[in-house]
Amino acid sequence: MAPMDGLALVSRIRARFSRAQLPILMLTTEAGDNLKERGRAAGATGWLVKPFDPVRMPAVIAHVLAARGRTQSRGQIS
Amino acid sequence: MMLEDQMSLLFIEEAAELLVEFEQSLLLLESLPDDEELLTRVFRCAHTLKGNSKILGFGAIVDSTHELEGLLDRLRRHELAMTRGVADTLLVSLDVLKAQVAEIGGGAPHDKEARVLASTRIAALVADLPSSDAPRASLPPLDFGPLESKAPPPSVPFRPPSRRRTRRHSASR
Repeated sequence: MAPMDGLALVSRIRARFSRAQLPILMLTTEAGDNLKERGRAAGATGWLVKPFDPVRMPAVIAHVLAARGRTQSRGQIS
Repeated sequence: MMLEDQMSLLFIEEAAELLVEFEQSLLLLESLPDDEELLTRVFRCAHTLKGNSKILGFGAIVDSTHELEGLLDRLRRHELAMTRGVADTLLVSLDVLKAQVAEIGGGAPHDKEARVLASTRIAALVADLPSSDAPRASLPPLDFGPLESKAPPPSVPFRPPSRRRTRRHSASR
């Protein structure tokens, strides 16, 4: 993925938007804990590993959005 | 139908619901390992199942869920990360619990070897910790209600299943 890799992209996006403002899910072929750790450090909210489960992906997105909705309704971001 | 049988039926129904919630939350946790709410949900499922099992004397499930709680507690305290190995161990333990609940429901006896394997994996993960004098994150104890109380509670301690309420447990025979 030129000109930067996914982790760099996540870092760049995260620098502009907080976790509460914008959850980021990484879709990756690597399931290694090391990559997850780097993804977390870059600002990813979570991971989906390819080949991904067609049931799990919407479930994960729904959960992230629901959690975000609860955060917003608590007034943590305007 | 004897009261004991009715209690067992209620137990099995709720256990099935708890294990479904446990599994769904666990699968989400694999993708969202930093989600405290999911972790709390998984812990609560194990904890409630333990409490219910204790009341009805299902010792094998009490033991399994107790071990599981120990591992989940380490995760809650951030003493362990939700690595692939941890997630796999939790799934193995889930399978054991499903088999143990099925056994109570009249299914085949659960696989003792699988049970031992799950225990061993949990023990290895729980033991693989920094020395005990490492600072431990302080966590408020979770209070999920009176399930742990020693005195037998006055009423049925677990909620009746919200679904299938109309199903007749007391068959007319």
